[in-house]
Amino acid sequence: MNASLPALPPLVGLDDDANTSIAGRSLWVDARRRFLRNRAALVSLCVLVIIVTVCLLGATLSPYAYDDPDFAAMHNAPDTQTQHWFGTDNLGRDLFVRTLLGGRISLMVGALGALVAVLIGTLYGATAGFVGGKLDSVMMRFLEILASFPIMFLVILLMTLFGRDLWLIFIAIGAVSWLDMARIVRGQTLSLKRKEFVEAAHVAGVSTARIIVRHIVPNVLGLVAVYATLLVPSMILFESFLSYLGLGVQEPTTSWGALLEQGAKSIEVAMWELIFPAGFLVTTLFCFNFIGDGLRDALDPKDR
Amino acid sequence: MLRFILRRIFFEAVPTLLVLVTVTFFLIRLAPGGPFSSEMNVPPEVKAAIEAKYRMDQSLPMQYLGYLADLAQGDLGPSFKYKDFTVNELVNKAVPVSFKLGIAAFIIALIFGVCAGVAAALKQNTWIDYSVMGVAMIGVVLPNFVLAPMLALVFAVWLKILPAGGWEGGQFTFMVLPVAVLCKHYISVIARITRGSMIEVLGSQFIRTARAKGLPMHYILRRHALKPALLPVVSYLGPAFVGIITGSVVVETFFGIPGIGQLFINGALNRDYSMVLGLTILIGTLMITFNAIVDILYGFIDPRIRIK
Amino acid sequence: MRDFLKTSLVAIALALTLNAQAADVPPGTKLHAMQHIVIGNGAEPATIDPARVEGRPESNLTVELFEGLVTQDANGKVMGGVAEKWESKDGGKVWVFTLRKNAKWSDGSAVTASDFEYGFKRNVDPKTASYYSWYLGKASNVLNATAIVEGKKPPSELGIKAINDTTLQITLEHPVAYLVSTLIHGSLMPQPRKVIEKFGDKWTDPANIVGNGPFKLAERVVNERIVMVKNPHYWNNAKTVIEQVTFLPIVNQSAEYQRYRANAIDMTEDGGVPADLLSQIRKEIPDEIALWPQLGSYYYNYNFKLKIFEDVRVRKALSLAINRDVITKQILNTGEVSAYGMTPDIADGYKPIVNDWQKLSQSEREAQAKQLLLDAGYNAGHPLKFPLLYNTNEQHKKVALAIAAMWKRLGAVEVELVNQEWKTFLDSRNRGDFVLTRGAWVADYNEASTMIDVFHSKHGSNDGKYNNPKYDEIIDKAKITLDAGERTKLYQAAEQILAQDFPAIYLYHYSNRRLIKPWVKGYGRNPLGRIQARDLYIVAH
Repeated sequence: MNASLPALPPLVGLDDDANTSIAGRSLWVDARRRFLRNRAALVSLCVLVIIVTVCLLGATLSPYAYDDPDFAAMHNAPDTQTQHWFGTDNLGRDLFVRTLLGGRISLMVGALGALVAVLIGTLYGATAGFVGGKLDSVMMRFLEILASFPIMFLVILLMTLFGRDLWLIFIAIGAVSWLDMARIVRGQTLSLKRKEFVEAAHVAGVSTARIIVRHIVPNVLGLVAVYATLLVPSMILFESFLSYLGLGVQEPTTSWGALLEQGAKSIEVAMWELIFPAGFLVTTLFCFNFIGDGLRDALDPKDR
Repeated sequence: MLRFILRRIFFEAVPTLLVLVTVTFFLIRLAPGGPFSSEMNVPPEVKAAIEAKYRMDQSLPMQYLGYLADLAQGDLGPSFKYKDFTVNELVNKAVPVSFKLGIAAFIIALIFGVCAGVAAALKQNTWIDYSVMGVAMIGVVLPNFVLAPMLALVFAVWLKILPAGGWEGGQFTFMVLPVAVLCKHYISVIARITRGSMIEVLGSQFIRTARAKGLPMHYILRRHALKPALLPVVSYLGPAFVGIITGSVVVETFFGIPGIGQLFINGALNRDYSMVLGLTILIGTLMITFNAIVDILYGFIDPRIRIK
Repeated sequence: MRDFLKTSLVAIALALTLNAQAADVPPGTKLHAMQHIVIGNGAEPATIDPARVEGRPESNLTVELFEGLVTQDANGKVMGGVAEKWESKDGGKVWVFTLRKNAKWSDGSAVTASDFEYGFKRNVDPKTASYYSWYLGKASNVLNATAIVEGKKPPSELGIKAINDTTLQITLEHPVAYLVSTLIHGSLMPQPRKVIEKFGDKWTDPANIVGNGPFKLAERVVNERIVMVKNPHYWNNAKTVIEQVTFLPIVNQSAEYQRYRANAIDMTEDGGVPADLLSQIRKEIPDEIALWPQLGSYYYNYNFKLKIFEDVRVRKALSLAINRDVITKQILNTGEVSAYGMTPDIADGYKPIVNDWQKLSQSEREAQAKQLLLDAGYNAGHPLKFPLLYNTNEQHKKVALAIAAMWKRLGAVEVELVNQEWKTFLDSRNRGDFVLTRGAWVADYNEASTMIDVFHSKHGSNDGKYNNPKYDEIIDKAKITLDAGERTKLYQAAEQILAQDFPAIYLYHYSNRRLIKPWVKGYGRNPLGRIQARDLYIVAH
């Protein structure tokens, strides 16, 4: 049954090799040019920039502070007159300001999770898959240990040792985010390394590290981009799980995940508590998604 | 193949599990608060008596060796929290429940996810693609803790056609909502990955050649494109399967399902060391097994990947 | 004094004959055909072994499966259970209980005095590893109980003795007037010696367990449900109306609420009123919220091991600055009562005092608080800074945020909120690793001593390590005072010290709050929150 599977390799790999000195530059220049041609990706990038800017600076537009409860205005609906544009939460705090504040944390968490996954996950998976043999076994078993370890304890331990700090949450999220990515990249690498262009590079005496970085990684980047966009929401929601357990951000600071969780509880009496943070989260993720797709297309070596 | 399996078990699985058990055993004990601390501050003598009953009066290395000795006989010890049961009893009762729920969700996620992904890839950049991927994106974004109460509200409270929770031995009506919530995330992820890799495969030389030869699309898809496109999906399935049958904490706690997820989260919160260890071993074993299966599957999908 | 005790006992015995511990269905009530009830029970119980109960989820079950010497009626009044009557000798030091002859185990055998002797001894035996082993010694003051728990004496030395099958004698360390009130505890049950010795730790398995309560265990699925059915051998079985009780362990409040609305739950757990949906509940099902006062208090503990709160002016200022009515009426709004002291007004044997600062208006209190802080050397330029520790929980968070905002208004206080996951929190609190921490105490029995004792320097839950010899002295004296009026005065004197010393910031007294379907009848307003299925019945609907 396998006979029917033609194994025509993409031929571009060889070109890469021939021009290694300029390929590096042209790959990225090329990618940028193609990315800028992708309208959906470009619009998404602009929207994302706007969201980030609003999250960073928007709070100054509101007369309210993020941690000022108003016991006379609990669960109030959005109202331009009171300048509670997004309404108030269960303690009468302004949701506009809190949504933007939550955005800073969640964007950081999402971006960091994706970054760690892309960097560590990709290199780890590509190395394990390409080198193979004992190293592959050890690296994969290490992954399994990490994936099976009850992560909650890791977070609790980090906090006990280093005190409550936002960075610890980032570390915890980074620690879990790259595991699946590494496995997926390894799977692709196993398939790629038998392809002619890789074998050719090998024969040509290119070092292992160089093959991984120059040939394997560019060829898995498409998949990496897709999976990374899926990781962003997962990590943002993982943070809310940590918060729910008492291991996430400290009140009165907040995050989109924490706001969503609170909003879900009062959905029947105060819809806006869910809708505004959810709206921001969904928009952001769609942007990440289109940017991811754009990057995938731009970086795809086969399309060049 | 047999050699591969044997080697995987004896030279890899067993040492891996041993490392996992050791690391987990000591690290969870470093976390503040023990299994027997409670709001009511019990007198030290009482606490000592309780600890003695659970071997916690011994030194840590002795406890560890004792645990390993029991483990070698398949005994996971008594639960530190649920005093009427051993970990073996609790896990044995919970595993079939989580498996039943998880496998149902897994099959649904696989079928719908792959179909949606392929459809979106074939109709790339059309309204089909956009709507399928839009729904998938919402599936990833919409957290279980939002979806579960919403579904319960609509189907149990308003329409009154499905129960809002409970398991009742896994009757069909009791499974519908939890399975729906559980598979949502995985459908979305599988659809996204399938679409991405299918687009890549469809753009590759050998498919172009096949199309140039005038072969019908469904034939190309079935005979040539599907298998390589599924490679990254298969990579994802190993951890995903383990996650789906063990990690459904929100679904299990919300719908009151007596599975592994509830045991695990309560075990961690209660510092039920023996429970956490037992479940970690279970998850580790599953993880190793399914990753091994995935590695074998690679060989079927792409004969160039030979298992050694 | 002895005469007083006697007359009160006669009164109890009289009350017994009037009140039956069973469902009291008014004549003419049309009962529902299916007398099944489903009750939310919070966390999954750690055990159903009475000797090893840890808290409410467990004792809610043991009081259905077992019956102690005494029990409570629907409104929490203490009444005879297996004991028909009792009397004290030796000035309240020795108590003799006469058991009813028709009390039976669920296997049909008779419940005897030696079953109680065995059960109580098993509770204090260190080998049993009971959380509540301290209770018989510290709360009931039974002779040698504490020494046995500490391993200094064998369990056989416990001051309890079966004189014959129906006569049980309990000897105390010193006279205690309210002994009988303490015996309602969910751990103080007769225990079936034969079954326990035969099956060991497995005796609580549905196939093995034998109880003497109105219900017997039918099914147990961990993390799903516990089903009980009527126990035909229960001595008062004819009066039990409910045929089957199902307890559901549901921690997630919104899950419980959805199941309640889908009519899959008849009564939510104690506290099972989702705070964020209060306005909807009040609008749609106002008659289904049951709220009544609970014997429990919520407060913040100062850490007396630290310098920062040494100055009583600071402690007083922080307490005065809090507008308790905002917390109870606006933020929580489910029947909680603002607290100005430790003991709730409703506690048996207590008459509330009104302390001086309580009489001031809130603005006067705030003005005074500002002045006190200024006197203590704190101002906007040099603010009082400290962290406030609480365990992660929606309600604690709301209260903490509100209080932080109230203190902020003083202009000289900066508080940082620190929430920790439950076990981490317990660890920090037990090790004294906090500056100001949330604390709470819920009564084990209905008598002021259970509350006021918490700030005794030797009490295990005196987390702030407040130590005032004068206070200890008053409490110690109250414990052995037999005259109720005299005791009340001592309790008041103790509260008076708390009102001047500010060892903690008392915030509110808890309420019992549940959602109960309109067809469930027969429950009362037990200040300990206990609702027993044997008192309930379901009307036609």
